[in-house]
Amino acid sequence: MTAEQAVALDIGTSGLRGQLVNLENGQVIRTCIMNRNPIPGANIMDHLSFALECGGDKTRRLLVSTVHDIIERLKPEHLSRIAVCGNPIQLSLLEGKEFRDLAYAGESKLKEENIGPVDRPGHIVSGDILGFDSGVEIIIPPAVRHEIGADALAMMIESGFLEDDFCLVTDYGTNAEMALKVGDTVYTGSAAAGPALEGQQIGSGMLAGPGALSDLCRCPQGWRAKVLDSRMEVQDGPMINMRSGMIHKEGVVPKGITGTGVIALVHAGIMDGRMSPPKITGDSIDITRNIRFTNEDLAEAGKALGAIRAGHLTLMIEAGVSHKDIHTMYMAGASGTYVDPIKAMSVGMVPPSVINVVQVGNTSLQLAKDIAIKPDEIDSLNVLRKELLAKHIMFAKSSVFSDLYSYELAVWTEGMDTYRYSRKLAEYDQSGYLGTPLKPTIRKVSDLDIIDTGESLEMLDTKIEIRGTWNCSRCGICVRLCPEKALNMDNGRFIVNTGMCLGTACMRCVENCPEGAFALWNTKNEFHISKRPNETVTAEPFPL
Amino acid sequence: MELVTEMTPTRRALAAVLGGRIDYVPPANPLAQTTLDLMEFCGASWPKAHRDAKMMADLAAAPWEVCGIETARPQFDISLEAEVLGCKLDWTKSDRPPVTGPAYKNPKDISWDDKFTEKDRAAVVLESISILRERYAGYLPIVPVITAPFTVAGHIMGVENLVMMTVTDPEKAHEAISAATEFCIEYGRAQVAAGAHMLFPADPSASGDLISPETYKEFVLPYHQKFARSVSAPKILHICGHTEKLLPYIKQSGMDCFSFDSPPAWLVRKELGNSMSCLGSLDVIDLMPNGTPEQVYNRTVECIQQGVDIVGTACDVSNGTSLPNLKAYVAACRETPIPDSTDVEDCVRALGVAKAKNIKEMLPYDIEGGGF
Amino acid sequence: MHMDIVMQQVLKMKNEDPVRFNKLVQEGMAAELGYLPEKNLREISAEKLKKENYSEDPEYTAVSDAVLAGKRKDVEKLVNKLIENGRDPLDIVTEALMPGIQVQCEMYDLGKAFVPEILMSNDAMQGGITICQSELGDIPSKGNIASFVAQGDLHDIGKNICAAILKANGYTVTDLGRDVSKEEVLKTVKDKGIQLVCGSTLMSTTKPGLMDTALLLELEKTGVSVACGGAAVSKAFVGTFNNAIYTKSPLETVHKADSIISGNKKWNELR
Repeated sequence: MTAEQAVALDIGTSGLRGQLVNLENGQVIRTCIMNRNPIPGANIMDHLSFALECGGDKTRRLLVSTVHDIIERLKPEHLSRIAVCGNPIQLSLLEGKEFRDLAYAGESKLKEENIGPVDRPGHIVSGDILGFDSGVEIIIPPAVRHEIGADALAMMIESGFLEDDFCLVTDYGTNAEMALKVGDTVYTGSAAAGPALEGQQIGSGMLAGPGALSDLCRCPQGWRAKVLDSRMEVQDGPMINMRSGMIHKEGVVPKGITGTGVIALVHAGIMDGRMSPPKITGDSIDITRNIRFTNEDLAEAGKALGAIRAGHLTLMIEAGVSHKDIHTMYMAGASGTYVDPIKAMSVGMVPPSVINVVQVGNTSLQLAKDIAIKPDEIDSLNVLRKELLAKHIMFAKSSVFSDLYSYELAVWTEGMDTYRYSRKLAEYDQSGYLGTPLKPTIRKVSDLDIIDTGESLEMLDTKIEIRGTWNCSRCGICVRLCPEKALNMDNGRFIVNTGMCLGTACMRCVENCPEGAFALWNTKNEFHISKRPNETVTAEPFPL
Repeated sequence: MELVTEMTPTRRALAAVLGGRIDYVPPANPLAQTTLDLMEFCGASWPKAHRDAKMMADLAAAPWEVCGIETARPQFDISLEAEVLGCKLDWTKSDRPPVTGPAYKNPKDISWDDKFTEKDRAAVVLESISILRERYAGYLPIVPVITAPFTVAGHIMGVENLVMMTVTDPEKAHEAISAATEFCIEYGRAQVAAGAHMLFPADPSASGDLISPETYKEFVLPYHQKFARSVSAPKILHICGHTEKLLPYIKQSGMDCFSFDSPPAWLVRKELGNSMSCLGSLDVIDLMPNGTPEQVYNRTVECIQQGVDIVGTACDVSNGTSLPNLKAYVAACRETPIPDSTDVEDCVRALGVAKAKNIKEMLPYDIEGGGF
Repeated sequence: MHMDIVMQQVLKMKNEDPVRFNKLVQEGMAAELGYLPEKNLREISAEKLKKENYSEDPEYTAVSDAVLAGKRKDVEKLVNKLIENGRDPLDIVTEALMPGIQVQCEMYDLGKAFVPEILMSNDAMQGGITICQSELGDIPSKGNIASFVAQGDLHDIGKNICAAILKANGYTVTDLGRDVSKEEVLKTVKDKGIQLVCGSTLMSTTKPGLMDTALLLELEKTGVSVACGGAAVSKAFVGTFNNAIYTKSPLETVHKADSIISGNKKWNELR
């Protein structure tokens, strides 16, 4: 008789990861990754916008269907538990719970719509919530507050941050969740950094995938681009000489730049005097005919980097601690795993007195696995969250953050001299923050962000589509303009692959329709969720 | 305040040497900068950097890559020519191996392999020039050093012997220096053919500390002139030490730029007028290795204000010189505004500057320094 | 180098503008003799701008300086004192407060001042304006503008910069703050005779708030439209609803405000 098994799931903005776990020995059997989130959008705000416009119900169906796909592919026998971790937005949408409080930073809208404060404790529910057998337990870890969700909690627990002292942890993504530990107190915050550090809102930016320029390596002749090949392994690409602008075409041809690539470019550009924010000499760094890093890209990257640095400083100032006392940095999230910490430090993503950097990998999935094996952990997590609730700093409301961020904007987008920012920081007792950083030792918990993948690692494509029809001339401009090739026309019907669609981040189809007819998000139109590959149109009702 | 425009380092350096339009005084130092930091940057070591073309190219370009210094200078020593001509070098001092002793007693015996440019160390230098040309496609000016005839003759005949010969047996001295000049012309042409933008003839033995102006006039000047007209590329002549009294002759050398050491910059400018450009002069004994970046910055500004066309160091930079000092020198060049000779307001101001200089010159001054 | 060309121009200046000629010669001499003191470039500009913008009255210039320095408490103290001494509040606004923000905005345009200075000067000026408004009621100006951050959003740096620049350009700006509902905007428009509304948002989830506000103002036949800006807003987005125009930068907002308020143009003429 096979041992009982559980599935650990991490639902993130850039994709879903699932692992099948043997509950008897706690080993990972196999892993399955879907590298897109099925909700249209490039980042979490887009997902929220979609949910607000089309309704939580339809959004939920997208997520549930995907979860089923992944679990099917994991081929469980004797499935007894499913543990799901992720950011609070994804989890709330998955369970069909209130999510609107997460869409707004200010409270007036919530008051208007009578949305009370939402508590998200850890809980265990029956599987039929998600269309599984009622005997299967669904385990969901708690969120601390709406900005600091289960994934942030996972970041703090699984990295070792909570056992350490005078340390910082940061998930370097769109929402840059961060926490500072001083003694027994943990200060949390979340900086709306924006998706530039995940390769979005950068002209030639892309999520990590084949052809992605992910790093630059210093050689005597210039900077060697590191590019992911078709197997997602790092290979040599062109040699870029920053000072002269010469590019020697060699190796793998890059197709775009990832967030870690952006960080490497900013570091290399500043080191070699090619970039002096906000200006790039020559107005752009041209890597290939189609890929360039422009002044606008530098401004976007700068705003994200500035938000992170201002966030770190705000935490330290609120905690009453000098940055010189913070020696350990835990870097979480996919960006945190793959970025070069030295470069990250040089552009301000890590405080300068840090001498230990630990790159911790995908902590969300690890937590899911832990609670799948020991569901009782939910109780201690619920206790922990109450302790953490006390010292959360909402940066959007913090005057310290506002003040510092105005200086970051000035430095990155207006060319203000950093010595003026340094003077301001001295007023906050944080002088020396902008000086030359120390050289830290780096410990990488694993080379991949998923530490143990079991016997196999499978990558799945999203197969979910939304179809709609309306009156229009079928000119096809919308289809031609879709940058992700997510939109197609078939027999007069419009079909969108939701995972590939960039949602509110793009909206080229809607905005360029000459008749103003394109209305895929309009809830009055038909809205089917159907699955390929059979191409038969079956709008399956879900057993919900 | 940066004045950087779209000019490339090569255009700027060439314009500065030849008397053209520039946007700022370039930090185009052709003296060797093989500091420990720069060697670490490109993984270079001695003696391999003398013998491996790629390593030489990397190290020559390292000051540019790391600090923004606007030249690449392949060939790091001035004993290479003597070695090709038959001298033995002391390779235990592998960064700058000195000549151990003369190779000839009679200048009639001086000879060298016809194919010397294809072998050994000369070939390494020429190959590194090609590598740099290809790597930067001309963006970064390549300015290799070439030891000048008088110094080469001193190496192969023995310096004291040669100096004595200028008095006791001038014909013999001329023969030796003439042969050395032939060699230098061949090597210089090879450097240009390989892709050098400018040549950097260095003639330390011709210093005012060692020879008198008259000796210079008879035994050095004609050969500088011959070299200058025989090799077609802009040339920067370097003579170490006290050259104050040699300036009137250096002016006639046919070289395009004079790279100086001890004379004050304003004096060099005054003596050379507009007939030749000048390059100098950051002290390398004390300022560069021991000074603060701020001191280096200020001294660079001072040199620019006294009228140098390119700011460079007085001699090769010492190993321990820090990167911040080198970067301060570059920053000062880029940030110091210079008068624009096409702008009428700057020209009228120049009238005022001239008036003030005349006033200053009514005060007597003494030129000191040098054995002669 | 053709020396005759430049020599010609030199001779020309000597004959036609001898004053300027001599001044430049003096400059050259002073530089060579080492007399040119090293002045902070920023201060030179500020001095020049102050001369051009400030009033002659030293009590007023003290207020302007406090605005320029971003010291709100000092501004409030000085303005209160001026009012106690019977000075005209309108005069204080135009001769004391405005010059301060105008100098700051010009420095910002020249790249000598940056976001932090603009924010602090805006805040300081607002301290003075509030006091004067309570004395005066409405202050006549180039136009009445209301600015707000869309409901649900708290990021207000962009709005504050825009408000500062509008004020410097002569507009009265009623700042509704952040997380503002469309109803609140409507009420202010009606109560205060607002002629243009400026709305901004950073988050894509809150952009509908701008659209809702524009449509409500149209529905209620206020005749007032919304200028939309902010990181989440694009020209294409604004193009999908009526009664709104897209403004990419604070300066563009000023131009469009001029067109609408003084130029009597409608939003659809500016799209």
